[in-house]
Order: sequence, then structure tokens, then C-alpha cells
Amino acid sequence: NPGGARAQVSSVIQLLVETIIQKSKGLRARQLGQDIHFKMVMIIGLEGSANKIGVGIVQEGKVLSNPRCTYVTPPGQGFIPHDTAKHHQAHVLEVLHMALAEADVTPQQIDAIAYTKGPGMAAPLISVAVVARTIAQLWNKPIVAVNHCIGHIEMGRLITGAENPTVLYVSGGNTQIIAYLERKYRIFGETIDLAVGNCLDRFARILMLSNDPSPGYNIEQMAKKGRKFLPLPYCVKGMDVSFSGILSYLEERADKLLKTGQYTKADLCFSLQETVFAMLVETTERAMAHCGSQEVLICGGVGCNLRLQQMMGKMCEERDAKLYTTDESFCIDNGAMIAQAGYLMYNSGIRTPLVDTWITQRFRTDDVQVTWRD
Amino acid sequence: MGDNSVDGAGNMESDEEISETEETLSTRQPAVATLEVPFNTSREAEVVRNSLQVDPEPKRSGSSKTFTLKENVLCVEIRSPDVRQLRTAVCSFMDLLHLVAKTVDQFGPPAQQSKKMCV
Repeated sequence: NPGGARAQVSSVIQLLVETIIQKSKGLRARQLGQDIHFKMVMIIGLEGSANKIGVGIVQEGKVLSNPRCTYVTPPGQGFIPHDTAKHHQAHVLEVLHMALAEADVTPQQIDAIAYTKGPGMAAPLISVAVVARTIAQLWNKPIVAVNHCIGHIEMGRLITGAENPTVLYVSGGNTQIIAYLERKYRIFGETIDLAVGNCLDRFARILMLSNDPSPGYNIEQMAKKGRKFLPLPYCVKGMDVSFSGILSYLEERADKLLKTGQYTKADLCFSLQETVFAMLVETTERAMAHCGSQEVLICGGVGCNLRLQQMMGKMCEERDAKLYTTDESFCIDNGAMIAQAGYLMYNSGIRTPLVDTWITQRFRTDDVQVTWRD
Repeated sequence: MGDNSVDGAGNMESDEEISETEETLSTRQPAVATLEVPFNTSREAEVVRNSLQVDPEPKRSGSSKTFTLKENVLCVEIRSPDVRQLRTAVCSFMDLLHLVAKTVDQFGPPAQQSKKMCV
């Protein structure tokens, strides 16, 4: 029966076709299932290179929590490594609990642990690193070692949306002018001795200003009341800056100038700010001209200073460039910036094996391969 | 600050002394401290050891640490050229050990590892 044979063949063919469709549907469903279960990457970052201990949680560019605790010393005193480490040891776990609670997440949801490898003070860095290593093992998560300076830069880029700015990174520990080029954050200019923040902090100690919330903040407030300008040594050397001369100059004369009533504390604060900030604006402008850049991003603790922002803003206006700044939750050292840099590194496949999670006091910004940018 | 008094006093008297020649120092036996710290499980002891053994001692201290695990007990031997440096090494180590133990208490116990993510 030919009709019957044809019917049989066609039903076999139909069966085959249906099977193929079913199997491919199955495949598509599995793929779809994976897409549905696609996880938004969540990173926790721990920072403690100076006197702030911060833990932050970031998920796909959103900061879920960023608590921080600052070690404040009495007026006239700076913070030393041993005491700072004791402070961090005493507070890190509490800040870690806060970070998880504020973000309302469990350790299982976290994809990796980012921590500050350096640069900074050794004892405080180690105190935070041991906690990062421990939770990574307890929660069975990979670790990403982050450069502190790059944490500042990447948080600045995230928050402001700046495309490819000339970066002025200024803090108590660092003063660098940075521009991105071919997989590295190149240091175009930097301090040859002290960081500008260090100069300001040490001057605050001479004046016995309070260190709460930070010496730089109190210098800024005092400077607003300054009226008389004291000419101070201005030290720009090509692309670089130097602050030790201006600090020694003030250390030698401040007492006498104040006692004789020639200048008030406010006048001295005002004069110091105007001078050091002008130096920073000059060197930033030089880097911009060199790179043909139309964007400036200020990051680091000194970046909070509104006078610096104002002076930089004026220069940018004159050049038709755009200035990007962040507020003190992100300018000042924090955990979320480490998480953000960690997120970018993690997404580009970087993992730091446990044995390589040692810390280092010196860690050049331009030593890091920026694999997450073109 | 108050809690610095012990360290401050110790440092004051020994930093000013230049008591030995290099010859005597190199031939002197090291001062050694041995610590044995039990944990709930051998895995916890291992976690603590892994966290603490990564950072080398500062070069100028001349101190060194050796870790061994005896089941759930973490054994640490700290060797230093003299008593002052031994005390410094032991004190900083105890601070970090205490912190790591607290971390395990508050954020542990160690999760099951089907695949080790933290290597």
C-alpha cells in the first residue's frame, strides 16, 4: 500500500521534525534560564590605608552602603601607624556589620572581596587586609587587591560620569596629576616631597586647630575669615610641585607673625590655601594643555575643599573645560571606592590569590594594568 | 595617649643604648616565643593561619614567624634577635590574631567549599 508507506514515512519525518523542535526549544529554554538567572555583580570593599576605616558595597555601579569611621587625634597631634592600626582593629568588624545591614545583603550575595593593597601606612593596611582575607575564606569568595589611588579615580569617574578627565588626586598622603593613556593611569606630575594634604594637616598642628572632622576642613573654615595675604614660597617645578619649603617657611615664622599681631591665624590659613591651590591649578592646567583634555576631575580628601574647587573651576571656565568634583562621602577615603575599582577589575577577570594579598606602603598608580579600559 | 605608656617606656630606654658590637649580635641565640591557640575546628585554624601568614615581618625587625597546624590548634613560633623586638613582634601578632579570631566568630563558621574560590 504505497499510500500507507508514504503516510508512515511522513509520520516518521514529522516525529523527527517535532523532536528537533523540542530539543532546540529545550536548548533555548536553558539559555533563557541562564539569562534570567544572570546575576548583577556585587563587590564589598575594605579601606584603611590612613586614619579612616571604611567598608562599602557596590552593585553594578550602585553604592548600596558606605559606612566609615575616622580616627581623630587631639589638636597638635598627627596620627601614627601603631595607634591608627589599633583604631582600625577596634572598629573594622563593626563597620563591616553596618555595611551589610545598610545594604541589606547577605554574604552569599557578594561576588568578591576587594581591599586596599596600598599605598598607605603598613600597620593599618595589614589590619584591614587580614579581615578581608578571613571573610574571603569564610564566605568562599575570591579576593581582588586594589590600588588606593585607582579607587579614588574610579569612584570619581562613576559618580561624576566624567569621560576621560585629567585627574587631580590630592589627599593627606598623595598629590598626583594623572591622565589615562593606553591601559595605564599615567602620572603626569606629582609632589616631589609632601602631599598637599600633609602640608595643610601639619600647618593645622602648628596652629593647634582641631582635627575633628579633619584638620583640612578646619583650615578651610578659618581661611574664609582671612583678610591679609602673606606672600609664601611658590614651588612649581615643571609638571611637579613641592610643599616642604612652604611648610618650613611657615614653621619658622608662624609663631612670631601671630604674636606680633601682624597676621591672624585666619590670614595664615587663607595665604597657605591660596598659594598651594594656585600651584595645583597651574600644574593641572599644564597637564590639560599637554593632553588636549577638556575635563578635570578632582578626587582625594583635599578635593572636598570648596576654595580649591572654585579656583579650578575658574581655570576650567577660561579654557572652556568642564570641572567634575564629588562630595565628602566619596572624596574622603571610603570602602565603596575600593569596591568600585574592585568591581571593574573583577569584571575584567582579575583575581588575587591569597598568597599575593600582601600589602605594600608604596604602590605607584602607573604600576597597575588598567585592563578594564580601552 | 594613655594606652601607649608601656611601649613608650620600653622604647625610650633601649633606643638610646648602643650596647653590643655587630659580632656579638650575629652569634647570639634568638629569643623565641611559642604560641598554641585552639579553634573550634581544624578548618577554622587553617583559615586563621592563612590570613596571618601572608604578610612578612618588617625587615628591620629581624623577626620571623613560623606557623604549623596540629588539627584544630594553630601553633606559631616567633623568633627575634632580642627581647625588645620579640615583645614588639609578639604584641603586633597578638593584636592581629585577636582580630582574625573575632572575625571568624562574628562572620563564620567557614562555608562549605564545593569549589575553592579563595585560593
